[in-house]
Amino acid sequence: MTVDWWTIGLQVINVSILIWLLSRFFWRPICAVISRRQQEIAARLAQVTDGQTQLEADRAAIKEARSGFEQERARIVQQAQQEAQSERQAILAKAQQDAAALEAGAKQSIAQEEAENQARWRSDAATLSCDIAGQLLAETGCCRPARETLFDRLLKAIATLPDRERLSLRDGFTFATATAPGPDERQAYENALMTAVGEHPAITWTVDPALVEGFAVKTPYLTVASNWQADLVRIREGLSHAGH
Amino acid sequence: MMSPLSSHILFHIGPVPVTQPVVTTWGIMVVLTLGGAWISRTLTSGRPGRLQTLLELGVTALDRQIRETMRTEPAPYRSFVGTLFLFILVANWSSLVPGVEPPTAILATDAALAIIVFLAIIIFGVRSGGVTGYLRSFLWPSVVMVPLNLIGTVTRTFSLMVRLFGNVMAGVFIIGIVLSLAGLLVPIPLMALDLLTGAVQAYIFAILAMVFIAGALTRPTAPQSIKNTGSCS
Repeated sequence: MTVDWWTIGLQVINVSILIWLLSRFFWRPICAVISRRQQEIAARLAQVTDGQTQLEADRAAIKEARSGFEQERARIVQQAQQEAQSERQAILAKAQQDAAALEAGAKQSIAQEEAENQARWRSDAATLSCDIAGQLLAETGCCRPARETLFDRLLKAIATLPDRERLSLRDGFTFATATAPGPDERQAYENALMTAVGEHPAITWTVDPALVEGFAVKTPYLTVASNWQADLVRIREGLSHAGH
Repeated sequence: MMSPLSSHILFHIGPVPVTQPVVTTWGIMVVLTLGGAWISRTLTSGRPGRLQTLLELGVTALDRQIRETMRTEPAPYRSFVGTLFLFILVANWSSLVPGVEPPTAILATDAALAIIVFLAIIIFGVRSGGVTGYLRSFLWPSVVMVPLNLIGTVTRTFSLMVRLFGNVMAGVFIIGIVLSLAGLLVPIPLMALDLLTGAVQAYIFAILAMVFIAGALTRPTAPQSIKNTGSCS
């Protein structure tokens, strides 16, 4: 057995050269590519991780904001409820006030209307009563005592006049009677009037059926009445104002 | 069939006889170098093709194997171990080419490979811990073991050579004998088996080279500190 040292040596050299060649042209480039790709993948992973971190942060921020929204919503709802409650109470109070005012106004209006109605009814009733009385007295006529009483009352009224007005009657006046007096009655009335005035005034005689019964002395500035028409008017006014 | 212990001289370059395994090795060198250069030019940093994906998968597997076997970063040893594996694999499988005798079936080639591993153990050992550190590795685990470690350094190199030579040579011989006795198609199963045997022997040779080199490293990295990141640095 012989050892082929030349072959061994050449093979050592060959394999050594092959190791160098493959290291230079194969292993180094492929490792560089793999390393580059691994770096890119790591960079992408880092980007993804960063993105994920950012996403988590955004999610947390959104969650926090959503929580804030919920709180804000609850606060707004509570505030709105409070405002609505306050406004409701204010509206209710105002409505109650308005209702009370309307009620008071209505009551007052009703009372006023009732009072007016009562006054009108009273006035109407008085007017009607007086009209009925006047109509009855006009239809049935009167008796002498009543006429004399009315004339006496006229004389008393003239006597109680202030001096200046009573003296103004001396200048003349109109003497109205409800019915035309007879000559005797006329003379009696004239005498009595002269006595009451103090002189002989110019008397203008006139008949006014509207007086119903009685007399009236009239000047442009003065009227002294003693007749049923005036009495009925007075009574009617008294009845009309009796309720006030 | 010639004796596996001797080689057929094809020609001489001066006083140097060039045998058939040497020429076959040159052919393998050319194929591997040109193939490697061509593959390197097709590599891209973008989306890889099938070939690049397969290649990256192989390199990543090699790195993982180095990391798990040697307990250190694979970068300084990748070219050496990877090239040994590729060369032995291609050399073993070259028997499939008609008329080509695998160089690893010749004792001189296996001896050259074993010598290269022996030298690599020394070089990597000295690079790792210096001459003193490398020599101190013979003291492990105690001074008493120094003679055995020295003998082991030689014998394991010898065992590398004999193991590879025996397996490949046996495969070639069996196929040759069966081919001479039987028909043309009969040796095909044995050739398939020879493919498997060639791959396994290449793997075993590379693994043992890693183990022996790792044994020479004076600063073995703690297993916990080695990150199995698969990085190609």
